[in-house]
Amino acid sequence: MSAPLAVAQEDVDLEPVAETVLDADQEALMKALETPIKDENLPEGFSNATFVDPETASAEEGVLPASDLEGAEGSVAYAIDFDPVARSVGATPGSSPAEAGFSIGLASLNYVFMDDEITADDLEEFKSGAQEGLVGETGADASPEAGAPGMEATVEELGLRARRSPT
Amino acid sequence: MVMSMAVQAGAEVDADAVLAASQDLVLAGAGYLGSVAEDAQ
Repeated sequence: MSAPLAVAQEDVDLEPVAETVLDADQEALMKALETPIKDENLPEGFSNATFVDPETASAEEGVLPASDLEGAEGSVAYAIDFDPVARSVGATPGSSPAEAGFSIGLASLNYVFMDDEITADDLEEFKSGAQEGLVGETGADASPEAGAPGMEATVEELGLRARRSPT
Repeated sequence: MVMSMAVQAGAEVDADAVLAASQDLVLAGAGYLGSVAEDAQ
């Protein structure tokens, strides 16, 4: 089992989005985000986004309640169907979906609104907490896999500029 | 902050591919946030 958690912060490529978000009424924005992203706006393999209230979501849904994060003013999340085979995830290159064998997936998307800019220290602390949350309390010198046999988890900070400007 | 999580359980798992899927999802989510924020102004 594998459970990467990608984290994106504002980057140069996100400046227009950030400016728009900062100019928007936050309460209205959070309310509007309760309408989930449509399938046509989701990447291949993802579908059926459903709004979930992070304050009442289960741990398996992998979303963060605002009450769990200092400085968070709100949190909006979606549970999303994830078909790894549709993306050829888990399949050996050239193999058919049937050859890929048993495979199931799930996904979530989570917006967390903070009252101030997130510092590098804040982000590092969050990533550490997320890693522990995904694989369990393992101790300072334990491997990430130690908390849940067969479970591998990675928490990544996404470099949006590199993804959007490959040159 | 925009976060995504993708989980795959199966007989054969490509962690890098799952990570790429999760990255694609967070990018899509950031784009959606921008479009909703425009409408919310």
